[in-house]
Amino acid sequence: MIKFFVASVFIFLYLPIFYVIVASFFDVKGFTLKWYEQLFQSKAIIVAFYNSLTLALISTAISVILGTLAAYSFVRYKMRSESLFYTPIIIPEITEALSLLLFYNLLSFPMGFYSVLLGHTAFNVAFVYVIVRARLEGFQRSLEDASLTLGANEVQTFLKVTLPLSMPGIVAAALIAFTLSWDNFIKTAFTTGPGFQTLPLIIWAQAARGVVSPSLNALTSLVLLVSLLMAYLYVRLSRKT
Amino acid sequence: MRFLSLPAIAYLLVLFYLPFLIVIFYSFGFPNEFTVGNYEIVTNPIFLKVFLNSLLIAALTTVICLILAYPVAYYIALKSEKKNLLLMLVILPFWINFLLRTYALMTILSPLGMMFTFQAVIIGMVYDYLPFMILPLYASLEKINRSQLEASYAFGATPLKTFLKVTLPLSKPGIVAGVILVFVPSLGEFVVPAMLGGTVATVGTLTWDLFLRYHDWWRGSALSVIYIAIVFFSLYLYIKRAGKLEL
Amino acid sequence: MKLIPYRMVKTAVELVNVCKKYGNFCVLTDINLSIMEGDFFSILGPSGSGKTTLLKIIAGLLYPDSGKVYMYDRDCTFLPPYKRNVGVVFQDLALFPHLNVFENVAYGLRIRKLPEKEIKEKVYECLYTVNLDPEVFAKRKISQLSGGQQQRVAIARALAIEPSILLLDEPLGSLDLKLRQHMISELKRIQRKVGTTFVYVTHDQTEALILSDRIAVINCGKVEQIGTPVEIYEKPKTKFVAEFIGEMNFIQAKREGEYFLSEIGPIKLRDSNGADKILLALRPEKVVIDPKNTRNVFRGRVDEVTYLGSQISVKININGFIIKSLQPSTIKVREGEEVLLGFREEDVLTFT
Repeated sequence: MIKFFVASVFIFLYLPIFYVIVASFFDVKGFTLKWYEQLFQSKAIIVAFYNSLTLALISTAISVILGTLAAYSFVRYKMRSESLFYTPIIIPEITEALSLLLFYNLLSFPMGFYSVLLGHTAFNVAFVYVIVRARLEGFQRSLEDASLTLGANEVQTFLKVTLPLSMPGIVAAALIAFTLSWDNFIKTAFTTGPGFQTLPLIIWAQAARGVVSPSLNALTSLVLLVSLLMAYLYVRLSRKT
Repeated sequence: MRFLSLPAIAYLLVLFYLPFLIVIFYSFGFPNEFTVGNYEIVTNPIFLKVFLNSLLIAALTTVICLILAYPVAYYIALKSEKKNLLLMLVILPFWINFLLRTYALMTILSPLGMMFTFQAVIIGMVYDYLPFMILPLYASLEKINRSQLEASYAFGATPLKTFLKVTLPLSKPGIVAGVILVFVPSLGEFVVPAMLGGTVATVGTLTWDLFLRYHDWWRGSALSVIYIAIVFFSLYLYIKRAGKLEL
Repeated sequence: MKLIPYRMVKTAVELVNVCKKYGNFCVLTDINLSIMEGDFFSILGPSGSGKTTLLKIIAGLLYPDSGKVYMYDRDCTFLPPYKRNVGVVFQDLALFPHLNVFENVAYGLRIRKLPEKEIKEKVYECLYTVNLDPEVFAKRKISQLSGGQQQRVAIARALAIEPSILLLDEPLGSLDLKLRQHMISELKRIQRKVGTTFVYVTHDQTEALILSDRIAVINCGKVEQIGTPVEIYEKPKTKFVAEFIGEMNFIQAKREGEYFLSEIGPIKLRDSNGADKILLALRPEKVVIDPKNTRNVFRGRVDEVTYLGSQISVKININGFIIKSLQPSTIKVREGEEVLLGFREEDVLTFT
């Protein structure tokens, strides 16, 4: 009885995702890749794909560096005012998005790649901080002490002990940051400018009108599969450690 | 090496906290004269209708999510032999943006002719927010010892009585966390009503329209400040009860 | 004028008036001690006495608030740990989980950028020293080792850098009794072999007594006594040391003419440094049953006899006061029996 109920809930959760992916590989005649071929014939989509990817990669790189350094110094020096990093996670995305819009407007900051990038990174820094911090707290302080007594200075200790040991946490944080930026929609919509498109924005422009189409299925599946790939890597990583 | 945290702190101060301050300024008329007039939006009958509508959607979503999620969380935590797999299936949707998941749902609802209705919005909301309810419920149920339940059976309690007297009270923190995690964000949800709701207006779609369609940033800011106040108030209530926030 | 000893012994570590506070709480107050080169030196104290803080100050992982730390007459008070060449075996061992046994031991050598061949020779030598076969263990992960093996790797890693001093912070605390006894004799063997100065922090008096050339007993951040195990045991300078090391009978006494009146009766003592109220301390093994030729003889009833193998522990009740005594098993006493007991005057310690 309960098993049946649980199974139904999981079917409800996964049927649409499954359906959209399967549908993107079929037309009336059967299996086909033509919807994907069509996608990559559109220059707008190729540009948007490139934009999404660059955005996610750069935002991940910046946020991993800033967030990791911050987590390290907060954990090691037992610093306070940590809630600084928690608020961005709690605040609803749309509020953050519109505040950035007002901010850029006030500064007359040009809206486009950089405005979107800066916005994505703000949120990611907070996320990376929280994840890496949890990892850093997990290993003993004495490991760093041991390295110091063996003759390694602070920088060598950070590079040879702290960094390798927190690497699983950093990679996990990077995967999450990449995904959050890769398929982000609301913040991108508020902070983008004319001519700067990402894949989620293109999906939105068509889906908001209620249109369901095979090529949109393919586009959505493309974005979705990248996110799922990140999730898969994350699961494998956490299994290993 | 405390200075290592400075870049991140500076980044958040400039690109998160400062913009947020600007929203508050705008809600009071900045850069024009100081006014509280923007907050009079709350007395506007249209706004009230939108707000009540959002409240209704959020409440329904929360209740349905709770009803669907509790047996699932209960099963994963206490009955399942494939705990890790099922847990992964709950966590996986967190990795996919609402936009994509809602579109995926659209591909099912559309052929069924269910688009642009109130029911479609509720289905969409439940679909998107369900994992947010399952996870905290699971976390609290998982802490319950099987031996606590067996002790209850040993004293002759029926399964129903055991559930009501032992399981339910022990999972209360999870219920509270789940309700907040679903209710608060769904009150301001934009994507689902915008994609599935047609003319259904909510706080989320109103915010979007005020900013991106009508460029009425002042009343939009006032609306956001009110929404944020509700968010913080709920969190305050929760933290006061639970002692701390678990993410 | 400085006295020159017959053998030139260098001072490996010298602490002068070292103080350390955490907030308002004084963890260490005015610590003065010197450790000779080649010594097995123990810092013995109950938990919370500040001994780990003291060790961290010697290692350079903490700096004192005031006072000086000298190593081989060089002021090292604020020298960072990586410039001290002090090996540390940590309480939790702190082996690097991301490196295998070989790389753990080689860590300090790689930092020193030694040639690969030398590193390998040194690592193998150190593993042999701690009785781990490098051919078997070098490639193992830390998580694949038993507790005792991990202990040995931690020691090998600390020895590999050829430290001028090796600090050990309760390294045996996590081991079970049998393994601990084995590791105690191992530590002694290793120290004899490498000849390095060992500074051993422990709360276990047995370990300290067995292993050490000299012991510093500390309590509440103060040095109570420094001396050889025999001095510490036979001639404790303070009541704390007397109580902390081994078993002890404490008897309150008050001067009354030539005698001291006590809970067990009048006691005659040779030396009493003039104080009126004193505390007498007597080791259980110094209590003699059926004594001959002693002035202090008391009558008591045997309350409890516990058989310990070569010895028996006898609790004797004298007017309601219990005296613990340790006797060879050859002495036959029964519970409830009346006995005479006594002790030699010079075996009684007095504290004011």
